Amino acid sequence: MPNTEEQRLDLIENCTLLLEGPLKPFSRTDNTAAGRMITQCKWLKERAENHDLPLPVKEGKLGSLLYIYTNGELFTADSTKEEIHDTEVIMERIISLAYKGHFLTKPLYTPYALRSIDALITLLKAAPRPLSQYEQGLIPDLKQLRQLLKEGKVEPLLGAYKPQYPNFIEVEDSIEDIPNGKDYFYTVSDFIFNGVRPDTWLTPEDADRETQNL
Amino acid sequence: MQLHKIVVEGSFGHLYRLHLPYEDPIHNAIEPKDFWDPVSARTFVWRLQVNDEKWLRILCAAGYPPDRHVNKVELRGAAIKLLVLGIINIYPLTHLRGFVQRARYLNIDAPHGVQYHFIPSSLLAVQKLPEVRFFKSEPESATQFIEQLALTDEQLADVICDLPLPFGLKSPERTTRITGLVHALCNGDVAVVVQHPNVIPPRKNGPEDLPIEYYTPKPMTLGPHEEPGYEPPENPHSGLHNQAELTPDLETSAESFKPTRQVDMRNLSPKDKVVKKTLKDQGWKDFKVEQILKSGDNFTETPYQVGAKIYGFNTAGRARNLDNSAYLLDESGMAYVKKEYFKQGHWDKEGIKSYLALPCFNAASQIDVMEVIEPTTGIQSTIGKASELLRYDGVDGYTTGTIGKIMGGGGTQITLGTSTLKLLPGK
Repeated sequence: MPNTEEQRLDLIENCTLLLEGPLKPFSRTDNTAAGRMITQCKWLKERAENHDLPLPVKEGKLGSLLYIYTNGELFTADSTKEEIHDTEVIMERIISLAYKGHFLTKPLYTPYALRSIDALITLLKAAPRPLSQYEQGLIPDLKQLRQLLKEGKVEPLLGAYKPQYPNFIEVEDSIEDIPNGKDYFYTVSDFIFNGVRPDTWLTPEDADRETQNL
Repeated sequence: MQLHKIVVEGSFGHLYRLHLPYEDPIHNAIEPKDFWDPVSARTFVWRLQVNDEKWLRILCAAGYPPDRHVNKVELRGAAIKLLVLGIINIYPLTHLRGFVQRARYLNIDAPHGVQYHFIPSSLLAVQKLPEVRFFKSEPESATQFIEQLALTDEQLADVICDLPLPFGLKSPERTTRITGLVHALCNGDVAVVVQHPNVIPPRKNGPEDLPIEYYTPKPMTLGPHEEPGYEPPENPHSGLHNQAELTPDLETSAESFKPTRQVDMRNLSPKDKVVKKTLKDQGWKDFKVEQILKSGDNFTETPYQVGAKIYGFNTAGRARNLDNSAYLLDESGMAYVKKEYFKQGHWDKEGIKSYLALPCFNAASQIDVMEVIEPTTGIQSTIGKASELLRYDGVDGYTTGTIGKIMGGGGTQITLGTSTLKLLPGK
């Protein structure tokens, strides 16, 4: 599991974004989810700043973040879709870094994500069995996402597969029986939908090496 | 009475630090012994050299005083439960197992006045140190770090002599000794303490060090006592959440709301895979699907027709965002909650929070009523146990101190599609 300076700095940056953004109007009280999130973010940020936050952080230390995120506790009936999206993206990045210990996607890694998409398309086309309708439908989805990613028209992370890319839901499980299917699928879907890159893509050079022979 | 830094002896003379909920958190790089399997917890507890009286004191100190007349088996049974739930944590003190605890470790000078010394990581289970560096799974960084120190053979011998190295301790070969030290750093058995030349302001260790704020609790707004002129009889329910003059304080603890079921999203059971797929079909994101799966058990799919009523407990005054409400109740679930937890005109909020495993910032002081607006399939599950550490402060300065709390769960929760509900106003 990586535990790098890049992750430490990303964690500090995203905690600051939450504290200085959506959480700024709130005070650090205990009877609201926002107040509790301030405490959670400050705790993570201070630990990271003190070089005292080995990743991944134990789940018990992230309980507030995980519950508040899952149940939308920071949002109210008046929250706009944009507010919710922007806030959840930051929370998801913190979860990826602190809870999962993953690396975030960065534009520098897009060329290697494109290679991974190509590899997944090739793998599906050369599958040793007939493709299901969802697997067949995934190929144009992947081509579209590849184009959008290449042109910078889509910024990972996209979040849920639905409503735009429902084929991913079925293929996530069905692809397991195709050799390398699961690995290629999750490399692509994690990059685009969860905003994380593989643990082995420590640097662009590593990503280049890892994807050269896909 | 509070107990601190309890060290107990297990089989073969192994020593362990027993960490109670109110104690300062231990460095989070140090993992407590894993007791997810109750059998291993039982074996461990029965092998400890701890008599009945000491168990009694430990359980009382942990905030779970047993009945006065419990027997030997029940006492240990209670301890086993707290271990499995992670309320009491056990840290092996490997530096006291066959190794001598040194009064001081050799300081090694580095540029800019910084000094390093190597320690057995388990020392952190009984001692707080200002700055510690780990090299878990980082063999290249560990090797590079040791090379940069340019230790003499004499220094190297002194450094490793009392460390839990997997090999190399008795080897005369320098390279073998260094490789052994790198292995110990990478598997987390050895850490490096960093000392800077200048005085550094005290570092905050966690939320427990942050200032405590008090607030006045809002009155309960549930039930028929909201009707004008209605005065409910005395609240018959016991429990801290039913005490109007007490408020929970969460900042006293680094540990927060923690569900107890574990799932691996990349290797789900066939049943969990079906649930995952349905939740994703409903529009839930990967991260949320994982948390929903962890929050319950016995998942089943239940169809809901247009007009079906759905309920959610909330903190009074908060307007719920419907697209992101993962944990709800249907009519039958709500009817059961009301039957069990609404007595003599009062809601038993303590009971509700435990039954539904609600975290502390949900005061369970308002019921949101929603309606299904399109036919949908809900995921129904039995709410799992959860634990949290919290403190209640009264307006008169009374405080419970930090106490561990186990919420038994057992209620039935519903997760629906993210756009299948509307809130009924004025309820």
